[in-house]
Amino acid sequence: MKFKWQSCLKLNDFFYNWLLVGLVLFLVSEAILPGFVQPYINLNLWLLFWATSAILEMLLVNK
Amino acid sequence: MFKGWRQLETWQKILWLGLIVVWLVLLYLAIRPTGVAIYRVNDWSGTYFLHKFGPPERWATSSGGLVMIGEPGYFYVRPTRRFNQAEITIKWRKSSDVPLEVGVLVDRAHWQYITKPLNNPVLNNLHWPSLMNGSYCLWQRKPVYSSWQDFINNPPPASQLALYNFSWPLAITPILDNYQAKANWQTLPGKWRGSQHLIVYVGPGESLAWRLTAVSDSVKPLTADEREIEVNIYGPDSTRIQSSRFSLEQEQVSQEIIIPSKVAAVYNIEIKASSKILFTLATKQSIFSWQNQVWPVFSPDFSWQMWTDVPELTAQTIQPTSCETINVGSQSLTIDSTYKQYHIITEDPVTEIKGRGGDIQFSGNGVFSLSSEVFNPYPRRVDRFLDKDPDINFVAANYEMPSCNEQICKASAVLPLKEAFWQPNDGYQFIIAVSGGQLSTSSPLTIEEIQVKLIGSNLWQAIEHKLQFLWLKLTR
Repeated sequence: MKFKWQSCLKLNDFFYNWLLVGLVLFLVSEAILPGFVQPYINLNLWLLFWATSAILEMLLVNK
Repeated sequence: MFKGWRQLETWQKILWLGLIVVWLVLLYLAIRPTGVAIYRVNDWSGTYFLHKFGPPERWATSSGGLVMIGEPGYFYVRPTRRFNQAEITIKWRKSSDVPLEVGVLVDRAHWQYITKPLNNPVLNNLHWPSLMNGSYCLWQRKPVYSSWQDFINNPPPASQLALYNFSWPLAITPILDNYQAKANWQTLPGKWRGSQHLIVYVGPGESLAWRLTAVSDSVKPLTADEREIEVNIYGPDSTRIQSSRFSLEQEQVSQEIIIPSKVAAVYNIEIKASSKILFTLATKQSIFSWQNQVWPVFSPDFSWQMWTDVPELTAQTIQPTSCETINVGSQSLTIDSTYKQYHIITEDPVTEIKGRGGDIQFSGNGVFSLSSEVFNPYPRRVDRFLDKDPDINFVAANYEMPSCNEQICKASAVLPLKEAFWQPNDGYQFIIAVSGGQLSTSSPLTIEEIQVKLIGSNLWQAIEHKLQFLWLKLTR
């Protein structure tokens, strides 16, 4: 089965944007009102997913 | 980067909508539009909202549960917004039947808490006939009063009454025979550390006359809070008649209190100050006492005497040089380490305390005096020595007994938060107080759950308040 790089890039592109928007939204909310996100969502984990998608984005674009 | 909404696939739309929904849910949880937030905790590590259970040496950290082995314990409540009051509900194992109170820190400079009762074994086991009026209860050794109104209109003498969580609303009119006012100032021996509450008798035509001189013995510079000194004078009817605040900006600061009194009356002088501040006290009064606690500081070669009516005396020092043996009546009490509370049960109604030099804090349920005729015009607070006092015939309390099943007891207390101190990053500080030094690793207090229900203004009230504020700003 041939691996579809374009589909993979498209999927990663979406997750990169989705995670980035979420990250900015949560960080801004947390900065305005401490305790907004921190008790419920692990922002470090969210950041890790976003960084992974950013690295994948670079790798896939170069491919 | 963004494609049009129509071009997105269904699962992508769902994920975007999901992100918005999650953010909206978090927004709801953060602003609490209904004005109510409930947080619970049942382990020592706490949660984001109920955290910092300390100090660590007073909690059995190995079990993970909320097991108190020393007192008092503290924790912080960190909501995302301010609230007006907190209803604290604590569930604990019935095996630990200890006097339990919960409180909130209102004044950090002087470590003052507003506390409310949760459990009082003395009152739980008091089987005298009682009169109830809501949460107010009056126990009578022999039935004398038929109603609360009857009791308020015709109260018993203070020596026959014990109170618990109850502000005595009645003015006390002491009659002291052969009282002679002094014309000259007399300086009290030694210095007197930190916050104190003086009860002073002022004769007819005499003036309440006190002179306070404050200095600091701290090696480190004082913070702004620690420099602040507040002096409040309460009149015979318990209303505040004078209040002054001053700061220890120079090496020493003096304050003179002169209040004329036409009739014989009892005044209360409340001094709020850091324990790093020492006062030299001078007065024209000869009948006075310190309520609940006193912290005298005497030079090493000075032999001192004090008298007290407390049933159990607690002594503590923070100075290694003040570790000494003091005499309490016919007993001796050895203070051999700092920051440790030493308890001794007194044998007589009035007990003499003697020592040589030192910097020792004494506390207990009663008063401390420099005269053997201890002046205490107020009803005493209910404590575990109630049964031993044959004079007490009436007990009045604002107290609701905890509800207990076979294993667990549960009680609630409502605390005001409007004046509570807010510690940046940590929130409100709460205290769990167990009186009498009864907790240890062998007899701990096992708390099953702490629930904090915070109640404040709802969204509409907050908007209304903001609009009113804006309107006032615009119209002025």
